[in-house]
Order: sequence, then structure tokens, then C-alpha cells
Amino acid sequence: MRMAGPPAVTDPFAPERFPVAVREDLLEAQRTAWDRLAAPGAWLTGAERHDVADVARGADPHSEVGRVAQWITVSPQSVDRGWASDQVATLGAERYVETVAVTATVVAIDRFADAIGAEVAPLPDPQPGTPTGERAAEVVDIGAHVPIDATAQGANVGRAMSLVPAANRLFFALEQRMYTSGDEFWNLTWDRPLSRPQVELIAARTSALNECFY
Amino acid sequence: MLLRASGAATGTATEVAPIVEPSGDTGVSHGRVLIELTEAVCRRSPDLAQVRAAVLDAVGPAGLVEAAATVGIFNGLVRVADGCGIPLDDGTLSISTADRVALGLDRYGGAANTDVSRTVAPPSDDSVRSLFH
Repeated sequence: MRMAGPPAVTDPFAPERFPVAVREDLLEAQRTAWDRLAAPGAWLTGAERHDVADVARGADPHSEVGRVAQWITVSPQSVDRGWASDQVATLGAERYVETVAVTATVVAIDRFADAIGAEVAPLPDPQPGTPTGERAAEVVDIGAHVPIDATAQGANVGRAMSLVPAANRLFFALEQRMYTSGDEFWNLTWDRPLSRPQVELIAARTSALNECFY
Repeated sequence: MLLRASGAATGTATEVAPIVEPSGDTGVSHGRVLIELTEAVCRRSPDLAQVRAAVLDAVGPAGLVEAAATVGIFNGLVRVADGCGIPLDDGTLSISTADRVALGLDRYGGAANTDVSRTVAPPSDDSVRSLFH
């Protein structure tokens, strides 16, 4: 007689998919970001966002946004003003920013899975629908490759994608759970499983390996 | 910058040179194995499982989760920063000159997004907030 196995796990961020206990808020943040990956965004369709996500984990690109995703995934340190200007001219700054956000989100979640020893989550199916067209009402030029929201405050990296608020939220809601949340960022002596110097050591080495100046 | 600042705040004598050329001691507890995990993830090394086990031994499961989250999100953050081409915040620019020169960071491609020759007044205090204005 064949015994029934355990029920299939359909939630790619279910706790049992990870080899050690992961905080529920961290799983929920990744689950939420993942659910939004292939839904229509502000400037990309669900199918386009799915393609970007697929390229961010190694698929060959078949579109302009896919080619941008590939470059940013594989060689972010070589993104210069000339290349970025060409892509922005082709895609529009809003679609470029959203491509960066989806790419960065997939890379962050996948590298977490690698580090902890879990399988990477299967990509969600593309969702139908129309992008919202949301963008910042007023923008400023701070010398970046793209304009930013004139009302955005804080560190430049935190407002880098603020031209498209939904794109900025997609990534930074995740960042709040994977790095620091709210005022915790200002606390250099926090009481967490890793000390602040331990976390910043990993952060700095990751930046150096990617040759990131910022 | 935050490694040095958090080291000072916690009374940890940190050495930042191994960030770029990993050799020697950073002064951070279990720093060697945390760097090895970071490198194994970023380089997609076949040694990752072995390194992960060493991290688990050193800092426990909750520490491994924090380490994995950090290396994951910073692989995203570097793509946001370089993809969007943002310049350094003034506070960071003003206090990082010596480290940037010593570590050779100004040779990175993304340095072109910041006028590193610009003179910026140092932060008004030594808080983290002052670095990001």
C-alpha cells in the first residue's frame, strides 16, 4: 500500500522550506515581495516583470528590459552614465527604475536562500493587468542616472528609486526586514543575534566584492 | 563607514583593510568566517555548504539568518546604488577620504557618480545621521 506523503508545500516561504528557523517577519517580507514580482507594476506589465526576474536569476534576455536586468545583475559596477543614459532614453526613466527594483529584489531574496541553504523560490506566474503609471509628482536631479522624488528624504540609496514609489517600496520594504527597520538604522550598539559590527562587516565585504563605491 | 563607526561605538577595534583584501584580522568577532560566507555566496562557491556550517557553529541559527539576510540585501543594495548611479551622501564623502584612498575605492566605476574632489564640510557631529545628509 502506498503511503500518502506530506502535503505539497505551495508557499515558497513556508518555514519548513528553510534549514534553520527564520523570523516570521522576514519570511513575510520575502513572501510579499515575491507575490508582487510578477503582478503589474507602475510601468512594467506582469509579464515584463516576470521576464526581468527570470533574467535576474540567469535566463537569457529577450527584451530591452531583460537586457538591462542582465547587465545590472551580472555587472552592476560597470553601469556608467553613458550606458545608463542610453537605457533610460530607450526605456524611459520609470521603466528603467522599475527594472532595477525587480532585479535587486530577486537577487536579494535568491542570495538569502543560497546563504541559508534553501532552494530558491520558483517564480510566480505573470499576472494580467495594466501598469498604474504612478510616478513622483515632482523630481530633482541629484546627479544620479535617474531623477528622484523631490520630496524624498534620507540617504541617497534610500531614495534612488523614488521616481517610481511602488518600485522603491518593493525593494525597501524588504530591506527593512533584511537589514534595519526604522530608527534601528541609527543604533550602532543594537542587541541582535549579530552585532552591528558583524552585520556591517558582511555589508562592507559584499559591497567590495561587487566593487560598489557607494 | 558604518563598520568603523559601529566598531567605535561598541568598543571594537576594527581594521577595515581586510574588507578589500581579506587577510589579517578585522577585529570583529567571528569576522573571518562571516567574510568567508559572504565570499562564498557572492562567488557562488562550491564551498558554501562547508562555510555555512562553520557560521552556524560560530554564531548559531539566528546569527546565520542575520548573516544570510545581510549578504542577500546588500547584493540588492549595490545594484540599486550602481544601477541608479547615486552619488555619495555629503556626510559620508567628507569623512571617507582617508579610507577611500587607503582601500583604493576611488578606482571603482561607481566613483564617477560622485565628485570626490569636492570639499564638503565635515559632519556637525559623529552620529550616524550626520553621515547621510
